[in-house]
Amino acid sequence: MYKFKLAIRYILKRPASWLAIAAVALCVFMVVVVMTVLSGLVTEFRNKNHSFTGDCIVHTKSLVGFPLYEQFITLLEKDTSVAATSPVITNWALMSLTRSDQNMAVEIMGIDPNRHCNVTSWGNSLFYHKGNCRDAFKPLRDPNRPGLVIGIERVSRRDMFGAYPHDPVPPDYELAVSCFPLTAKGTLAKMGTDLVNTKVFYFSDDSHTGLAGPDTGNIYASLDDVQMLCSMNAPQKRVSAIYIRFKNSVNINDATANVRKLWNNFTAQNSAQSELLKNVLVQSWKDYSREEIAPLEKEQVMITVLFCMVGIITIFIIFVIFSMLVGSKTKDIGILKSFGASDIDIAYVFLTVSTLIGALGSAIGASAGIFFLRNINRIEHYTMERFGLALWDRSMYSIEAIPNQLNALVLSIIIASAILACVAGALLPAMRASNKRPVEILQVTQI
Amino acid sequence: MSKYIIRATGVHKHYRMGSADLHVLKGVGMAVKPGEFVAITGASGSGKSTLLHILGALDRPDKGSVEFQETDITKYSWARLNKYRNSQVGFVFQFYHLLPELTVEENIMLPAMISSSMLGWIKNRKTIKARAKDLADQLGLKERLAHKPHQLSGGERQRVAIGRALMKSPPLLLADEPTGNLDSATGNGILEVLETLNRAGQTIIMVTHDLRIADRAHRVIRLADGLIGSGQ
Repeated sequence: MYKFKLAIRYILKRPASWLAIAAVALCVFMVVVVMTVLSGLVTEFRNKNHSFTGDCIVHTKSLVGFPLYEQFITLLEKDTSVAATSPVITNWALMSLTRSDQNMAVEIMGIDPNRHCNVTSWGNSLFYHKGNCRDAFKPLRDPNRPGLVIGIERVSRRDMFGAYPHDPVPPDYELAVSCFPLTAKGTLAKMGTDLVNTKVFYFSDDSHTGLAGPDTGNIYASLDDVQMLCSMNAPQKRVSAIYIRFKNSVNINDATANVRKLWNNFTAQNSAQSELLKNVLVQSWKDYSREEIAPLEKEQVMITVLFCMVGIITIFIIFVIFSMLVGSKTKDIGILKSFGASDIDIAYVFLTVSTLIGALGSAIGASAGIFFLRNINRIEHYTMERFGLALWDRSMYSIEAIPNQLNALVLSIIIASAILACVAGALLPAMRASNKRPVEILQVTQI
Repeated sequence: MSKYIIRATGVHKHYRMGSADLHVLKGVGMAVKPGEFVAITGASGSGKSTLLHILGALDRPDKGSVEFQETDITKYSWARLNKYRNSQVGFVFQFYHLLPELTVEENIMLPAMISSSMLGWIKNRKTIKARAKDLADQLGLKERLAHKPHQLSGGERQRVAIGRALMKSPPLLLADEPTGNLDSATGNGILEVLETLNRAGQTIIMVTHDLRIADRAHRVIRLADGLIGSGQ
C-alpha cells in the first residue's frame, strides 16, 4: 500500500517527475500524430490503388493485348468467388484539340463503363456523371456524340485549398485521339500515310481518382472505340486486362490463386489459338500496384525506425530523471529498509513511479494527439487562410485532406511502448536504489 | 521467557576508509535483559552507533554473534532480517528520518504499511489507524496527524519517530542519539517519553555521547577503542 502511496507522492511533489511526464507526453504526441498521418497517407494511397484496379487483374504488359477474353470472363463468372469483371484496354495515344496543332501523349483506357463501375470505384471519380457511370461517355451537351473522359489534371488546376473548380455546364471541347495500331505480333498494323487511327471525341467528363498517374496522364473512352483505335477488334478481339472484383467474404489472395489456376487451365486448352495468352499475368491488386505502393511503405518503415530512436531517447531521459530521483530519495530508501522494506519493495516503488509516469504521460500525449488530429485540417486551413502557411502545395499533390483516422491498434502499441520505455529507463536506477544498504545511508558520519 | 532479550558475543567490525582499515569493534560482548533501559556511551568514533546498527540488523558483524531471544540473527536470511527490523526492533534516529512526503499519521503507520499486503491493508486499515492515533495521542501529537514533517518542531518530529518505532510494539527499542539534534529542554522531554515507555515495560538501548543523558538509563555501557570498558 505504502509503495503506491509513496509513488504517487513522489510524482506529485517532485518537479523532475513532471518533467518526465512532459517528456513522455511530448514523445507520445509526436509519434501519435506523425504515425497517424503517415499510416493514413499509406492506407489512403493503398485504398485508392485498390479501388482503381479492383481485387485482381489478369493482364499483359504487351501493347497488343490478348484475345479470348470474353470466353475467360464467361468462365470467371461461373466461379463462386467472382462478383464482377471488366475487360480493359490500356494503350498510348496522342490527344489534341481539333482546332489546335498541339498534341500531347496520353495513356488511353478503353472500358465498358457499365461493367467497369461494378468492379472499380471509377464512377465516383467523375464530376458531371457522378452516380450515372453507365453514361460516362455520353457528353451532356449531346449524348449521341462519342464522349471522352479526361484525367482531371489535364483539364483543371487545383485552387489553393486543393479543390478543382468546375463550371456547372461541361465545356464543349472537340478532341482528336490517335493511336498506333499494332498487329498481334507487335508490328505496325498500317503502313504509308494512314499509319494511325484517329477518332474525334467530345469532352464528356473529368476523372479525379486521387492517383497522380491516372489523373495526370489518363484519358478514358468506350472499350469499342479504343479497340477500334488500336485495331484490337479484328481478326480476334483483344484487350490488355480483365479487372476482377471478388465477393466481399472472399480472401483476395486465395481467390487470386484460384483465378491463376483457372487461367493456366484456360491457356493450356487454348494456347493453340494464340501465343499471346502466354504473356498474361494474374496478380492481386497489391502485387499489381507494388511499384507505386512500395516506396511509400518503405518510407513508413523508415519513419517507424526513426521513432524507435525517439523511444530510445525517451528511455535515456527517464533514466537520467530517475537517477536524479533515486539520488534525492536515498534517505527514504534507508528509512524504508530500516523498517523492514525489502530490495524488491524499494525497486517496486520506483518502478511504480515510472509506470505511472509512463501511463500519465501517454494519456496526456495521446489525448493531445487525438485532439490535434481531430482538428488538424481545421488548423491547417486556418493557417493557410490567415498566414498563407500550407503543409504541402495543393496545386502539386493530390491529397485533399490530411489523414487523421486514428488506428486503435497503433495507438495501443504507442501507449504500451511508452510505458515500457519508462519502465526500461527506470530499471537500472530502481535496481541501484534497491541494492543500497541502509547503514551506509543513515550512518551520517559517526561510527 | 529468555534471560536476555539480546546478547552480542565477540562482535568484530572493520571498515575500509581509503587504504586504511578501521577496526571499529574489537570483540564486543554485551547483553540486555527484557525491560532494561541501557545506554551505550563512548567518544566519537568509539563504535557505539556501529554496535547499535549491528544489534538492529542494519549491519552485519564481520565476526561474532548477536542473539535476539536466543536466536542468532547474524545467520538470518535477508527476508528474515527484514521481518526482524519490521517487527522485533524499532529505530529512533538522531535526525528523525521521517519521510517528508507522508503525513504524521502515515509516518507512524509506516512499519505496519510495510508489512501489509494490499489486501491485508484493506482488511486491517481501521485497526492500524486506531493504533497510530493511540500512539499519537500518547506522544502529544493528536492535533498533528495530518501535518507533514516540515510543519513540525524538532521535538515533535522525534516524537513521531518514536511513535513509528513503537507502531508494531517491538520488544526492543533502539535509539541512536535521540536528543542529539534537540535543545536541552526538548531533549529532556524526549527522555521523559523514553522513561515512561520503559516504566511500561519497553526494553530500550540508547546510544549517546552525553554522560548526563546516559545517567538516566538503568545501566551504562562504555565503549572505548572498540571494546567495552572493564567491569561492565
